[in-house]
Amino acid sequence: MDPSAPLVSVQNVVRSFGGVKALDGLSLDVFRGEFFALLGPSGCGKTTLMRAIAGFEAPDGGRVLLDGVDLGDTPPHKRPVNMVFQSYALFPHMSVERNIAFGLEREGLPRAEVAARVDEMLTLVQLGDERRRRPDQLSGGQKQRVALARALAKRPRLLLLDEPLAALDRKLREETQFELKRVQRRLGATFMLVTHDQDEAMTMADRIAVMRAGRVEQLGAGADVYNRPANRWVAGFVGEINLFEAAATADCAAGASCAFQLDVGLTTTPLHCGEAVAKGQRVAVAARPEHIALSRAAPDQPGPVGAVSDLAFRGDATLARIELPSGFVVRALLPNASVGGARFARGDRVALSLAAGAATVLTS
Amino acid sequence: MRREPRAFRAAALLFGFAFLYAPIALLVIYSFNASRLVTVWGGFSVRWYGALLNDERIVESAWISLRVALVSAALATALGTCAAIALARFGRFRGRGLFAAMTMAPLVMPEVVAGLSLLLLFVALDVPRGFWTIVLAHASMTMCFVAVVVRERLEGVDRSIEEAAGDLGASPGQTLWRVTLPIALPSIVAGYVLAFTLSLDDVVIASFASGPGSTTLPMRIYSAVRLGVSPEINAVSTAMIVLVAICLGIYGLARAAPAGGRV
Repeated sequence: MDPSAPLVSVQNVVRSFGGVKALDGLSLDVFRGEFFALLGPSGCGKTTLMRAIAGFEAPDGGRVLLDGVDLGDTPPHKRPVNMVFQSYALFPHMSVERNIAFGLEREGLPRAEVAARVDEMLTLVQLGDERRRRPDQLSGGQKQRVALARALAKRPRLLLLDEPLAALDRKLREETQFELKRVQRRLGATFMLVTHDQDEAMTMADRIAVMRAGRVEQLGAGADVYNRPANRWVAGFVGEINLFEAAATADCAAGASCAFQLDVGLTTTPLHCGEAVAKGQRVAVAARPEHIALSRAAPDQPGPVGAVSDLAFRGDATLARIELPSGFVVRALLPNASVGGARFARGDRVALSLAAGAATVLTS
Repeated sequence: MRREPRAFRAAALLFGFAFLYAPIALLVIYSFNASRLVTVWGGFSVRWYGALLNDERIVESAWISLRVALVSAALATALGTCAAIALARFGRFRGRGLFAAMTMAPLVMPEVVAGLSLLLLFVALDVPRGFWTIVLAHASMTMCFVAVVVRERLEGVDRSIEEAAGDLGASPGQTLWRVTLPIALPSIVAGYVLAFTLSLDDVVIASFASGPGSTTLPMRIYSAVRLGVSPEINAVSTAMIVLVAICLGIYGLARAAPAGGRV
């Protein structure tokens, strides 16, 4: 089999619930050994897609291929795909080791093989001491690890993770993110994560599919999605961003660069245009708060000048909200590490500038 | 909020409990009465309990009641559990509303009507009335209670637990046997005990469904009382109260068992 062929190929899958399309002709490929994330707001269809791959939802149209084989009507218990449920769904009447052994026993593996794999999994998730406990005697993080071990014990070709960290507190969540990455690298397995948390998706995933209303809005590495959002919606959903209405100052071919005149009264340095734009065409220029620089405004300062309306200290950085005379609010992230850098207070009049080349031109 | 005086609240509680339990307490006390006269206290004695064991008809009826209760509760538990699974797990199948209503109807059906209709059925089918007709009658009366108790439990169980079983390779049958039923087990035990208790003290339906040689204990007590209350009847009633109280204790414990906890 061609190793570069996709492990999972979702082709034009449609699924409606009472007239509402949860999946609207969605297609995507997941490759072997990849950590893939489905990112989107609730109701975007990401969980439905995952359940369709696991076999809990039958698509109304389209196909799901695993290693080139159409899964069709294969029931969940016959698919070489396993899932970590959001609620963990541990069997409450079984001990940790019985939970992990459950799937292996269903395969009819010999006793010794089952015991060996259970031990291997307990070591992997570091739960050897809790093996005889029942789920109600475990902490949230331990339950999460049992759910992971139980699903991985089957050595699935694809592991699905449905918001696996949603029920954990912040500190444990971060630890578990790295833990999941470690396990995935060590096993060389293919993981597919469903999440509404962009930080989680960017921290863990090699590639992210940003979903909205049953479609993929953008698919790419976390850094690409963050730095080069495909459209206004993705730009707004992934991370904080300032969307400036702007007009092109010249005709610009696809792939070339040109400067844009922002409505707030600032002309940008030449920006890369993914698509051809005509002179005067209306576009949005998206700039992350960390790419906005502030300086104390001189009395006769040219360009946009606003007043600092709010400052939110975030530890490593401070997020400033600057209100322009037009009422438009710009957010700027000021690193706190820059010792001796300009400090601002509420009410200060500041001039805005954009880091050269850092903004993205959005035509849709 | 105004607090009533402590004494008032205690008195209200006492009155409430007295209203509910004084008759039963009286019956229990008089079962230990040495005197043959029911209303005259003649000192403490357990002679009537001894007399019970030597009364063949009482012992025979007690034995019939016990067997009827054990068997009919088993039947009711099997059927009621099936009904509960259908209602809690099969989604919105055709006729679900009707099925739910008809399963639960015996909860509110007048016992006289249920008993009479069963009698008519047995007569029409020419079934000789006796032990098995009481068993069937009681099972049909008590299965709805089992269904209610088990269904409540099943609906409280996270559906994704069963999905996880399927995801891990368990067929629907294995999921039912290894996951759903063990998780529902406390409620199934509770349902059985409830059905057992209801069967044990039923007199109305049993009267319609019984035949010669199959007089249950409550029927025996009822007919004996028509000839006058004897201390012996007090004793047998007390024994039943104890048995039912134990059953209700088990029922309560089973209902309170945590999801998937040991029974």
